[in-house]
Amino acid sequence: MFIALRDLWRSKLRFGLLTGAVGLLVFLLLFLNTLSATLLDFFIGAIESNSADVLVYEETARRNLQASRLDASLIDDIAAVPGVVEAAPVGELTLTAQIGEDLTDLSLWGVDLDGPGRPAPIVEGRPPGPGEVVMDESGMAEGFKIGETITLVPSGTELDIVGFVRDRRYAVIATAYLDFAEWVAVFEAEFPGTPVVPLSLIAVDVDDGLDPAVVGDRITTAVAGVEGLDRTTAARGTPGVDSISQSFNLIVGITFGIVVLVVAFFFLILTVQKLRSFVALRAIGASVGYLARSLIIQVIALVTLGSLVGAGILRVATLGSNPAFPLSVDGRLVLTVTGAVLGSSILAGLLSVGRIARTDPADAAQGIR
Amino acid sequence: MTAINVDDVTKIYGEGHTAVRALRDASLELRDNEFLALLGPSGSGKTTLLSVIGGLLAPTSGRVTIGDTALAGMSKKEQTRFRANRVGFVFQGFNLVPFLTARENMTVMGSISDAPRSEIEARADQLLDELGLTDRKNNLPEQLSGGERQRVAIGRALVTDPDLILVDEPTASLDTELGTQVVRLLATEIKTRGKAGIMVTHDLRMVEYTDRTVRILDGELLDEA
Ligand SMILES: Nc1ncnc2c1ncn2[C@@H]1O[C@H](COP(=O)(O)OP(=O)(O)OP(=O)(O)O)[C@@H](O)[C@H]1O
Ligand SMILES: [Mg+2]
Repeated sequence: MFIALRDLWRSKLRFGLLTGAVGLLVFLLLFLNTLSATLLDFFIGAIESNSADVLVYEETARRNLQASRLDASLIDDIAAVPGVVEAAPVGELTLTAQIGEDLTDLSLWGVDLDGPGRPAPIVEGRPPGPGEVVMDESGMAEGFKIGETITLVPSGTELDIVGFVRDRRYAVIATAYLDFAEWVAVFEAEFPGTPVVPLSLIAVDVDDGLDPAVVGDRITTAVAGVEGLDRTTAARGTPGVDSISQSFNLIVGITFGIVVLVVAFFFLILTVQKLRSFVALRAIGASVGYLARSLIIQVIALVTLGSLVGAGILRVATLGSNPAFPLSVDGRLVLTVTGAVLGSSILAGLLSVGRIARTDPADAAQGIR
Repeated sequence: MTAINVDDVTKIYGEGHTAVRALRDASLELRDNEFLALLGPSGSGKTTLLSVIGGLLAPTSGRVTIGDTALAGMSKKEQTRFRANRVGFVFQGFNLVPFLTARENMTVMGSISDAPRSEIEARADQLLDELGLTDRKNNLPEQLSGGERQRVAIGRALVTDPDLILVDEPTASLDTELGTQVVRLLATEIKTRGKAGIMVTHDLRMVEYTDRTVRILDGELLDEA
């Protein structure tokens, strides 16, 4: 303690600069993690946060919602599987919509407004009636607001926005929910002459206390040509999710490595610069353990402060949070990142401890050489 | 009682044709309360002898006994504790810690030796006063003159109240008056607190404050001048 704190204090500028650097890197780590969570949420929020327990896909669609086409007759077969409380149709259609003067992409979901897959909870406004939709609130960024009217292109169908739901965006475009029967009408208006309107998914609620994954498996086994999945598996299985996660993990991993290397090199440089002092202290009876503890205390102080700085910057960044780009300080993430950086930095500090241990205290006896 | 017993010690640095024989069959005995001056030309082995006695350097052959403990029988850990608690070493290059103030360079012994911190602090203040450093106690070594640094190094050696005081060239940076004062302080410490002390010096005027003089030449000890 004695040496560690005085050294920190008397080299305030150096340690301050490093704390700042560690702070920025920790911020980058936190920000990248938050960014990846937000991006994934925009991509598959509609699946991951769906109100249904199990989502049933066409087996050959390989968990790709947009490739999945199911016949409505399957709903009864699925409802008959033990453990299933209720099954309801889900249709998804990606189309062009006009809002105000602008054309934009829209993912339009037809669901049973009172059944599995219903757009709930409504965080603002009210549930949709005939000719009305609720939207994921992130659509605000694209100009979708409660009270506005969406015009579908090319059919010209008009839909009024009456409410918002949260975390229910799909494929990173604005996402709207309306009654399934109306969705079928929209489909027919957009694609005149379609003989059958296929379902994209069948949403299923299961008995309380049953594991959705188990019921999903039962459905897969009992009903030919379908695959039943719990929400998390369905979301993670969506094509593209893996590569997004992997890319972010790679960047996060590299940043993490850089933080640890920066700390390791910094302390190694400081140690080499102070080698004479360490030799002298060992000569007057300081054990390597004592000097090692001092160094590790410094690493802990520095990384902890740096992490606080990083979390502080993230906190400031969240002031700019909005539905179009939600940012929040996730306490658990901060703790995990700090813990990981701290643990690895302490290990990195051992490099310097090794250097101290390799000094020969007898060198102190000779004059300045 | 015998404080230091150096028995037939040889120290060879390096190996083969680069080997340097820094001590040759050196033998020396020091009683408690005895203050010895070690005189010799540069490169004669003075620092090497102090290092061997202070537990910093293992001799190539021979035995060193401090009180009733043989240094050779100690583990590395025990040697470290021995240096922390029983030896006060003033190095030729002072070796102060640059990021600690004059006072902290002494009180750091409170974290290193087994002596209670409060005792070390009280003693540090007393020594700062006796060494005329009270005004400079909050200065870092870089802000001190050579003589002031040397006195801080002496203070650090005395602050733990060690059994052995080993001083390498204590007066090199001090003028005669200050040098005399510092050597007198060392002599008083040794006489009144039952220690044994060895002081390397070139300055024959300092010899009068010591009990005995030993000369060293090419690693060989030649008793009594
Ligand atoms: N680590 C070392 N490796 C090799 N040779 C050494 C080493 N340390 C000292 N020597 C040699 O051992 C001999 C004695 O050195 P020592 O430092 O004991 O001399 P000294 O009497 O203290 O000299 P000075 O008055 O110049 O300080 C010298 O020839 C020196 O070059
Ligand atoms: Mg010397």
